[in-house]
Amino acid sequence: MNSGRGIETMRSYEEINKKIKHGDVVVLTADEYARLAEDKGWEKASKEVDIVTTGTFGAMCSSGAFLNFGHTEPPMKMYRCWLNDVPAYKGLAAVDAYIGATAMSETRPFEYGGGHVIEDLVAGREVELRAEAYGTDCYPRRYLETSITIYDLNQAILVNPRNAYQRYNAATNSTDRVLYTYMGTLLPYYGNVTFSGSGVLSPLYKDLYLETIGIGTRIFLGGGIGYIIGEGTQHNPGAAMSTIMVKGDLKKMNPRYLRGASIYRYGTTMYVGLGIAIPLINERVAKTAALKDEEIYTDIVDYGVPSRSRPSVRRVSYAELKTGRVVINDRTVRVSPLSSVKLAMEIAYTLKKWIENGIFYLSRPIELLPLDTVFKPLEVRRREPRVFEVMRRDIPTIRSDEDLRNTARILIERGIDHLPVVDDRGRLIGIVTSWDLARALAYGKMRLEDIMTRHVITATPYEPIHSVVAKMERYNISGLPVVDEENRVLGLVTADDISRRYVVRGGIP
Amino acid sequence: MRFKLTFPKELADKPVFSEAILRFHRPFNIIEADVDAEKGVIVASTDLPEDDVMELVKFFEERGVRVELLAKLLEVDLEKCISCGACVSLCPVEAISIARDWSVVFDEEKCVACGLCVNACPVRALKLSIH
Repeated sequence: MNSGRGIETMRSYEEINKKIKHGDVVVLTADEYARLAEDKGWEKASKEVDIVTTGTFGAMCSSGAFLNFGHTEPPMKMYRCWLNDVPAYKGLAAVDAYIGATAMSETRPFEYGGGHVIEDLVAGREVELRAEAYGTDCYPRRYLETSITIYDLNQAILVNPRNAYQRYNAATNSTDRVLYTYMGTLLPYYGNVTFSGSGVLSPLYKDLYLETIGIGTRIFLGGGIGYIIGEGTQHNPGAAMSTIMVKGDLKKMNPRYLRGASIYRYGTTMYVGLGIAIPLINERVAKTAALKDEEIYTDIVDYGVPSRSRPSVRRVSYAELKTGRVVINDRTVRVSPLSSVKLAMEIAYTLKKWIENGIFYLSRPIELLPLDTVFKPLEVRRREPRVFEVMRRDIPTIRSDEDLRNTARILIERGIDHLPVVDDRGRLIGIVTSWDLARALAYGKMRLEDIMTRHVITATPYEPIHSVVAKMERYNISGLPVVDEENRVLGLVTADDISRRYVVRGGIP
Repeated sequence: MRFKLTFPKELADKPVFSEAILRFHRPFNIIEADVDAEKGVIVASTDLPEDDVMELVKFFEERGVRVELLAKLLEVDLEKCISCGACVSLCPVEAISIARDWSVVFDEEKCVACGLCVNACPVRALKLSIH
């Protein structure tokens, strides 16, 4: 693929820009071009079409803006600062700051954040600026409270370290409870599916091998002009999950395409509108630009598994996702896009009009983006205590036909509060606690089967202790049976065991 | 047709709602119910013909229940809405859908005011009118 990557065999940037100048350039949005290519074949279609415009409008957490406030009288080296109570990064020069999209207001967390500050600035609204300093001989001021607008700032430059994922996972939830994730609200028992990315309009997917997309590529960013300044963080071309880092002048952007957002019980972020014009410079570009929603696949991933490697439930095409319904385990469930296809289309169309009207020219990248970077996980080197180190192994279990008096006797004699109930092969089918026995006494229940809890929260031997503590907190329980892959009981881990072991040593893991 | 009933606390032990069901021989769908120290509130819907609705209102008012007829339960701020669709798959009665032009459209008539969409909206464009 690297051979002749970026080669301009069909048309050059100069030829295209000359056509833009003469007003006879042929531009189609990516969905229009995909349809044309389907009718005529991409070979024919790409002879007629010079440029394909793309667009996406989705939540992009790795976004933010550099701001320069100018100097007050007397001047100040701001050490910490807040915009509408949202902390901005101040590890820069005296009056430079970076406001990140996911920073949350200290007075209205989860409701208002850095993305909202950026939207307010772009909309021309007043924003409260508060700053603290330790005071120096050259910067004596120690405190500042004032209001600013974007017009007061010397520079307001959007710099987003990671935008426009080539494609992204779709999400679902296998567990029995509602999950609140960055992929939105996920209903229990595979109750819905959410996805992000614009499929047929996806900027980076349409130039799949990134032959026209590189450092210096001029783009539509937030309703204004922006540039690609490099590969984005977590750029992962091998998995078709490439990303880009972009910048643009915030002062020339439009709040319609930069929207502060709050994802319920997750946090704040920003919706960013981004579009790239892809010149059909060679046959590979012409071919991938013609890819349809039916040909762009992603995985529906189970966010019910709280791990970085979540299992895929099934493969799915963007075409199927966009029908609004997908089938999971023989059941049809509804689908929510999280990025706006409507705005993505609007962006691709706006970019098309800009080019047709001669106000947007294409730029040849100074350097193409790497194709060999991978997205590595972070291995935790510090030893983390795990369940097998604290669990009790010699715990009794009982069968569900045991009578209550015996059950109580076992709890007392063994000095424990939790008793796993197992079947004849030692597999966990329930749990009974001293509290359950108290309830049996109070309500006159006579059978273990009537009082045991059947839906048992369990732990595994190699699970980190902090994960067990989180489960205890979430489900309001004090002990979990430890089970193997076959659900056979290996032991028990309790809050008492954990606190005895770690609080004494000074420090919860 | 949807209506909101506000019961003063004096009526707490009177089966007024059941009387209405018996009197009008119609099923009522209770969408929401809330009781506090001062009052009880029920939001319900019925398929009573228009002519009988005024009689239903009279029935409740005679018994000291305040009646409000509700046009819609969900208020959508279309200026704010970005048509992302985050709400669509959460709606238990499929009152929210995506139109051919990818706009998100709301059928307020179907809404049962569960509030799932209100929380899920990333740009806070949705509001329940009964709250």
